[in-house]
Amino acid sequence: MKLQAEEKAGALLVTVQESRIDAACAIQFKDGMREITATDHARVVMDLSRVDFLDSSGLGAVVAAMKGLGSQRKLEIAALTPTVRKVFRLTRMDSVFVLHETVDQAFAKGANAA
Amino acid sequence: MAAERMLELRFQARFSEIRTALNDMRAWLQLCGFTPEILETSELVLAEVLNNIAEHAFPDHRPGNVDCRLSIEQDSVHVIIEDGGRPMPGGHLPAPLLPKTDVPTQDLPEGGFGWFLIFSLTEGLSYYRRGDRNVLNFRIPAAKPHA
Repeated sequence: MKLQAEEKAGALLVTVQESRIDAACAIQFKDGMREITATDHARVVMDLSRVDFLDSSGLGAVVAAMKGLGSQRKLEIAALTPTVRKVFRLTRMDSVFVLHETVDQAFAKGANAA
Repeated sequence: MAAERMLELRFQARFSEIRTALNDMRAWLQLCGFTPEILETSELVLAEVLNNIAEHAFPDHRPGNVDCRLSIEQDSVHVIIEDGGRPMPGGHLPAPLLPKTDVPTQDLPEGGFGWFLIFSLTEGLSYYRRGDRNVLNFRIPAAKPHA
């Protein structure tokens, strides 16, 4: 599971460099997120632009990643591809996460929801 | 239409083989001329069904075979999936309920979305036991593939 982290405008930007978050890699994704977000950034933005497939196991892993941040930190999600957006919409997880159309919009003035 | 009108696959109910099978099914549906949206919906539904089989029908890391048959019937993809694993709890399909999401973050569900997605994206979903096998039948509604 390739995850890349960088600091951007005081936040931690995590880019998922895989095309799938599915049952075959959900555990690796959760473990990878736990490691890579072990920082003191209050705001974490996840770039999902390269992920074109997410099943319910993958969705559960994204939820677990947010819960792993604890109550003082937020997970925001940027750049959902159409199929992944559909899974978020159908499961109503689009109302749970702060979603941004693009990574740029996540960092546009006033977009900081933290 | 260049592709055969039916695709039959047999593979072991483990995640690595499911991924390969999903890829094969997607490639076949693409050859049949279905739109990207149908390919995506089909892959999601098939992934949810097959992951459930891997996790619940064949627990204890002893996966058995799954047989998938996809065929094109009028404006939909007809799918029959059979396995020789444990029956569904109670012998019937679970209720298509979405777990509650209007709860504190730490109480958010990390699972339980699968059957809701399957019910939402299919038509005519049915399940029955035939001897010691599970048989699941459904259709994925689709625009007619172009010739």
